[in-house]
Amino acid sequence: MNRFRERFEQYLRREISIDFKTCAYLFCIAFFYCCYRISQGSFLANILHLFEMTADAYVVGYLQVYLLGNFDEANRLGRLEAFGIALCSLFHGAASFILGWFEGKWQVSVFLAVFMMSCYITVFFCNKIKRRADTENLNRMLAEFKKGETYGEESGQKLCD
Amino acid sequence: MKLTLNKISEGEEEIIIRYREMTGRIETVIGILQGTGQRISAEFEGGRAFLAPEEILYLESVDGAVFAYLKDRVCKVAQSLERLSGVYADRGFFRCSKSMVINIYKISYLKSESGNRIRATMENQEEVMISRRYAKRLRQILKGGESREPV
Repeated sequence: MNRFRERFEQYLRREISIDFKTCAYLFCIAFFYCCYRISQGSFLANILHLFEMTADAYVVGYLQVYLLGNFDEANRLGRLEAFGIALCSLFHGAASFILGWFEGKWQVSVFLAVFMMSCYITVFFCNKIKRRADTENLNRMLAEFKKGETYGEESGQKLCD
Repeated sequence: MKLTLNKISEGEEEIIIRYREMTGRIETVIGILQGTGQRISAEFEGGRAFLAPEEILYLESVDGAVFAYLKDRVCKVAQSLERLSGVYADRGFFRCSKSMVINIYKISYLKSESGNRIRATMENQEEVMISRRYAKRLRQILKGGESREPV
């Protein structure tokens, strides 16, 4: 029962992590899409396109977590991570072209792919900075914890009483 | 450390410890003198010995047997991980996975990993990965917000 619970919790954590990623990257795609619409002189967005973007972000989220080793949370930007970033960015670009988010303009789809690549790299570095800060904090807490065991003069007297 | 022994013919026997800073070694000596020094019975290749908890870097369960890793040697311990992490929780023993107990005082470096995990580098440079579940408890212990007693 415990093993089942642990696996279920692990599964839930992964799903929540995918949901977070989907939200973050969907926001990036939607932002790009809105910028494009505004640049075309339109303040209207196609609802169907927004649904497609959500589905695209979900698919890429699953791809990223289950197949590509969660590259935006990796410790270093190696070959596998670079491949993951390129593949997911290309996927977004291809989806935008096939589904006609930018009226079939391939240049804009390529630009979206490049934009998404920069988003992935930014998130990777943000995660890295966050972990570095956490590492510093952990080691500071560890040092304080160890220091806490160094008895002062009063405690020494207490021990000898 | 300088050791001075004076033989006396009369009067009460006395032991005075002069220290600049209380270290684990001195603490062990005090524990022995007060009769409270807890020792862990362990088997070496050459025989049997009693280990001070402060000497142990980490304990690992392998195929049902528990091994204690010291700075320069490994020995077999008869007690279970659950018992050891419970009895010596106040001496820094922390259950970091199902099969491992580490001595927090013997961690030389902690590194935050993805997924809220923590990589602990022990004094013998051995690296131990602490999963998110146990990492959360370690953070609480380090913050001093949780009792060191096991859950």
